[in-house]
Amino acid sequence: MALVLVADDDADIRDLVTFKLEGLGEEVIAAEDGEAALAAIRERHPALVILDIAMPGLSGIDVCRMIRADPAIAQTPVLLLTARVQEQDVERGFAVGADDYVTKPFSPRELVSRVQTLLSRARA
Amino acid sequence: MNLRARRPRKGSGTIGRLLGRAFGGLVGLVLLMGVVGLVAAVAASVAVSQPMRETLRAQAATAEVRSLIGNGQMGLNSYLLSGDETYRDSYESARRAYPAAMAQLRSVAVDQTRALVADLNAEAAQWWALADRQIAGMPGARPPAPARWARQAQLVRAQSATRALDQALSARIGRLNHRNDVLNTIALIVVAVTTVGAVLFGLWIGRSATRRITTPLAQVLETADRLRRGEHDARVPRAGAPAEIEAVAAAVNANADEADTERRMFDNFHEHSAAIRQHLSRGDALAAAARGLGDLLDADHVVIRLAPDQDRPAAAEVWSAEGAPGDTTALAEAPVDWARLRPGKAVIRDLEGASAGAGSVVEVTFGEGQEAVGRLTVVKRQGRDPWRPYEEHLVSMLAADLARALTQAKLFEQAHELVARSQEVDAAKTEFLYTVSHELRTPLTSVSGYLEVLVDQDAGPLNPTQERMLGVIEHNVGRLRLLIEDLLLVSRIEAGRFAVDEETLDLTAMLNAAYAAIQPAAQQAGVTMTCEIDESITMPGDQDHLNRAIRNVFSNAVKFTPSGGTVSVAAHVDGPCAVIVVRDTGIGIPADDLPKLFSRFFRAANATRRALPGTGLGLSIVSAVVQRHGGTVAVDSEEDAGTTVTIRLPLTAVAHNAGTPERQAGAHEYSQ
Repeated sequence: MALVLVADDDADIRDLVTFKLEGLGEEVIAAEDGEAALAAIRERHPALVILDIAMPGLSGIDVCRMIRADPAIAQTPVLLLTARVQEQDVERGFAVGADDYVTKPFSPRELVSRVQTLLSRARA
Repeated sequence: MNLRARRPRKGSGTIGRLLGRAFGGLVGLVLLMGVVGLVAAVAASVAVSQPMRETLRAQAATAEVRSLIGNGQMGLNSYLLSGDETYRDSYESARRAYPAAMAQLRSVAVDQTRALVADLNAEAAQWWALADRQIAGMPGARPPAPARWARQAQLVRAQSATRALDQALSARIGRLNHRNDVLNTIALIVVAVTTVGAVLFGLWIGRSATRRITTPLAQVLETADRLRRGEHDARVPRAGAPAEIEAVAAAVNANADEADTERRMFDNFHEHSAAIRQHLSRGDALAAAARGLGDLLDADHVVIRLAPDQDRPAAAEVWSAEGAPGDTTALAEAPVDWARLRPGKAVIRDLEGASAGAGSVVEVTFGEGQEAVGRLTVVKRQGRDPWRPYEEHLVSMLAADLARALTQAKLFEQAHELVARSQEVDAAKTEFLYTVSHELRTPLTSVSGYLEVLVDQDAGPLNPTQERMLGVIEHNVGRLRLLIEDLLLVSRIEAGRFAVDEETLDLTAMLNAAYAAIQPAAQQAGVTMTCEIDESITMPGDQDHLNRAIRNVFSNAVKFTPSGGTVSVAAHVDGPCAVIVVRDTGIGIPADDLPKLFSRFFRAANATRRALPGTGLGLSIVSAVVQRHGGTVAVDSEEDAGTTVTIRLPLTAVAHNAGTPERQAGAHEYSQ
């Protein structure tokens, strides 16, 4: 069992990801924006972070950069959710240290399998 | 008249004076000839006529003396023989007349003959003495013969003295006649020489006067002729012609100068006219007109007033020459009753007051048809050259040019505004398209995500009916997603936000995958598909975009082919290109619709008629993608027979420019 943080401003998406991951036995923290996500990460040190790029306030890219800049949480794997139209987001995401990305609209099945891959890699 | 007069001198008088001098000279010559004739006549008279008259008188007197002596001899002899007293009377009357005759002779005798007269007188006196003695003895005593002989001998001597005198006088007459001849000859020669001189002088004076009149006149004529032939810089040389011709030459030159000025002005006019008309902005045209007129007419001020129209208030453009006196405030700001003004010809009027330096102005109202658009005023201050007639004309023409330029500028500005507005609308539409499709994706993400969870039975088991219904939802969500992707792609193409990733891709694999993916749909539609794809075709390109394009073509072929038809897919390498041919036996495309096939949202009439689903985006995406890869799309179609789409893609990388696909229009083609 691992602690996963999901940050997305769309509650439906948060709920969907939470439902899917909890169904697999993971513990999920949901955050509705970048600030909340960053606070929760610093407080709870999740095993994996899923960040939507397009969030109001701090974007997923900003949060990812701050994670990598904070030694306490710098090792946390990060998976970005990106809209297909913003190809450059993917590049920027990798540039700030994201580990993987999934484009919207995404298949929950696919997302979960990526999450599991990242978690097992982190455990190894 | 001397030789120096022949050389042209500056200001050598007038034609009148020249002719006066020539005629004066001729009159002088005639007078001289008269005087010479007179002198010759007087000289002849002094040298010949007087002596001749004296000599002739002497000859006559000599003849009288000889005659009296002869009468005396005859009377005496006859008396002595006959004793008739009548003869004695004859003798006596001769004897009495003799002294007077001799006295007469002596009085007219001239130098050389005086001695001879004295001789004659002596001999005659002796004869008279002898004769008197012999007659005295009569009638009784008749003189003896010896006495008569002696008297006879004395008579012979007297007669020979008479003859000598006569001869001397005759010789003198001969001499005088000769002198007369010589004098006549001299007079003739003098007159002849004078006449020849007069003729020569007359000829010279005539030629000289002619030359000094005709040479400059010919120059004037020649210059006028050259000017007429278009040698605009021809001028009459100004050197010493008579004043009247100088005046004509000056007039010809002044005329040519004026024509030059006019021509230069018209040349400049055409330049300015073109400059005004080429401006597409109202402000530039106004400035060009004001400056152009000022330069052209060497004016002090140019004021252009414009009437207000529905878009703009009244305006004024002012140009002033550097350092020109006066100000143009009154001309630029005085109220104008535009409704009453009508476009017309330029008029000249005095400018009263000191507002722009009192002077003269040319003013013209210009406009469109009967409507005054503006008024143009050109000011020259007092004391300057007055306006030439053609300058008025130039002002009128430039005003007309300005009116045209203003109309043109107005139309251009309107057109510009329309274009800008339509570009704005287009950009807004593209942005709208992008936003809408992007926003559609957010709910679609939830819908497809939750749908998948349901279908995967993560939320509990499903009964078969629910499963079938969810299948329908899933199918339609898939269509919706493709549609949104197409919309997004099209909006990005239109916004220029379209980039292709260059990587080497396996075209064969991509085509096979697309072929496999379309199979279920083809089977469902009852369409038979065949495939003939060559092995290992690779090319540089964007995997996602090309895949989208190929799947679009495949799905179009299946969609537009009724049940029972066939779709064949073939791909091979042809020289530097990969050629993909998709041929169907479908409904085809009406000939009228072929040219519009690649326009976005365009749908062929027969597709709409048959209510076949579609957005009309497929082919515009195919076309844009293929063009971006340097390729071409050709559509060959016949309605109700089928359509063949041929895509040619270069096998080696081509330089892509970042332009929008509109700029590459024409890269696709279509045929029937």
